[in-house]
Amino acid sequence: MQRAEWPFNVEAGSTFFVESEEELRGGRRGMTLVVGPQHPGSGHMRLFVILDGDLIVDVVPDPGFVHRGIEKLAENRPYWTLVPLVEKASIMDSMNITYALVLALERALGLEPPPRARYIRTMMAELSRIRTHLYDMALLGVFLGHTTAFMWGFALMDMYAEVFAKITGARTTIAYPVPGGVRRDLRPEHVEAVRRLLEITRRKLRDFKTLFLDNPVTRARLEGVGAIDAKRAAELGVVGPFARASGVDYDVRKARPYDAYGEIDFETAREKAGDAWARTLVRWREIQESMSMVEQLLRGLPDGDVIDEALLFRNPEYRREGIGGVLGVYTYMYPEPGEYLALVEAARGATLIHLWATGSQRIYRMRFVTPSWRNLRAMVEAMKGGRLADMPAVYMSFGYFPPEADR
Amino acid sequence: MRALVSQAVSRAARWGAKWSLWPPHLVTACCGVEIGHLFGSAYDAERFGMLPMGSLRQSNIIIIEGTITLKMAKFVKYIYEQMPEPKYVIAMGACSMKGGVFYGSYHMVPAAKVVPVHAYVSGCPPTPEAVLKAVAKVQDRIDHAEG
Repeated sequence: MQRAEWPFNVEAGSTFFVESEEELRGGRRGMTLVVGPQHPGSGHMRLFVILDGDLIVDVVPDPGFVHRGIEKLAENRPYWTLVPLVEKASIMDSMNITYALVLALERALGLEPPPRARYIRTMMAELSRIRTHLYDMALLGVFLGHTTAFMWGFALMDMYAEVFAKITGARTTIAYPVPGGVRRDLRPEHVEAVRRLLEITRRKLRDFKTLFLDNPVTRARLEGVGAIDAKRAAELGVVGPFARASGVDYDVRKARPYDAYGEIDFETAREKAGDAWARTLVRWREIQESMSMVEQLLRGLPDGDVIDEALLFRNPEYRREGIGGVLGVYTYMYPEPGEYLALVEAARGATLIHLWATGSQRIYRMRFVTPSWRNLRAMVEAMKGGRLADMPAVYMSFGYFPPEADR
Repeated sequence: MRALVSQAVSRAARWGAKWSLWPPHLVTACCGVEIGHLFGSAYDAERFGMLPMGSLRQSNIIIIEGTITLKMAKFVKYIYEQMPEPKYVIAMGACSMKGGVFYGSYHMVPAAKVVPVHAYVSGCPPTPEAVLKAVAKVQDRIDHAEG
C-alpha cells in the first residue's frame, strides 16, 4: 500500500511508531489491524483498528465501498424514476427508505393519497421494519457465531419476502409507494396472507427468543458491550432504535406523524443502558409493536381508491388497479419550484429527503440522509475501549448497512 | 497407463471442485441480502456444496453481489488473484452486467472489466433460485472442463 493512502502517521515520533523495545514498556503501543472489505465480521467496508493487546484504542472507518452516487444520478432522471433508484440504498427496508422520497414528491406535486393508500403504505412500512429488524438480528447471530439464529431469522424473513412478492410483485426491491398512492391494491387474499404471516411470526418468534435472546451466551456477549449513554448518543447524532436504546426519546412516527401513524395507537420501545444488549432488546420490542400496529391497520383498512384522483384524469379505468398505465400520467405533471423536505422513521432511524425543484421534471438536487450514515460515528465510538472480539457484536448491534450509509 | 491415472485423478479433482464451491465473505453491494436468503434455510445453497468461507485461500468461487464501485474493484481484483486455482466468478444482478439502475454512475464498473466472469445472473436483485441456477451452470462447466 502506498504511504499516501495510509490514514495514520507511521513516521518516527508519532504515537503509533514503535522505535525500540523500551518504548513498548511504558508508552502507548499500537498495532494497526485492517478489517475488511473481505472479512466475515465486517460488511462492505474497511475499518482500521488500532490495538493495544486486544483492547481497541482507536478505530478509523473507511466507508465508501458502496458509494454509487444515488444523489448525483437523481439529478439526471425524471422524478418518477427516482423511487427504484433511492430504494437500492437499503433494499430489505425499501418501503421505509422510499417513503421519504414519495412524501417529498407528493408535496412537490400537490398530490394527496386517499385514506386506503395511506393505510396500506403504513402497513407495508411496518412489515418492512419487522423484516429489517429480523435481518439485523439474524446477522447479529451469525456475527456472534450463532448460526442457528441466522438460519431461523432468514427462514422468517423469507416468508416476508414471499408475502411482499404476492402483494407487490417483487421479493425485495418492492418500489411499492408512488407519489399519490401505491402501485397495486391490497386484495382480500393479500390481507389474509398478511394475517397468516403475523400469526406464524408470533408463533415462531417465541422459539427464536428461546433460542437467541434467552441464550445466556448471547446475553454474555452483548451485555455491557459498546455502551453509549444518552448524552453521548445525542452528541453523536444517533438516530432510530439505537438512540432509543440509550434513552433518547425520539421517534419520527410520534414526533411528526405521517400518513396513518397519527391514527393508530402505539408505544415506542425504550431502554436505558445503551449497550449492544439494549439495542437488540429495543429492536425486539419494536418487532412486537409493529405486529400490533399492522393488526390495527388491517382492522381499520378503509375502502376506496389507492391512488389520488388527480392521477386518474386520463384513464379512470385504473381506479383500483394502479398498475402501469396510470403511472404515465406523471409525464404530464411538473413539480412546483421550491424546496421540499420529508422525514420518516425507517427501520434503522430517521431518513431525510430534501428536494430542490425548479419546475422541471428533473429534480435540481436531492439530499438523501440515511440512518446508517448517522450511526457510523457512534458505532466507531462504541467500539473504542472494548475488546477486539466484541467488535463484530458492536458492529451488527448498530445494524450498520454500508449501501445505506454510502448511498 | 499414465494417461489413465491422470484422467482418473483429474476426474476426481473435478468432482471435488464441483461439490465444494466455497465463496469468500466478499459482499460488494446490496444483492448481499438475497445472498443471505440463498444461504438461509429456505434455499440452503449448502445442498450444492456451497458454503461461505472465512478465508479466501480456501475458497474457489466469487459471487459478485451487484455493483462494483471503483473503490471495491481494486479489492475484488486482489481477492481474485489471491484465490487458488481453479476459480470461478458469478456476477449477480443487473449492476454487475452493465450498471442496471446505476448506469452512468461515476463510481461503478461492470464486473467483466475487473475479473473474468463465468456466469451472469439477471435481476435486481436476482431471486435465490436464479443464483442457484447459475451455480448449477458453473458446476456443469467444471464437469465438462478439459484435462
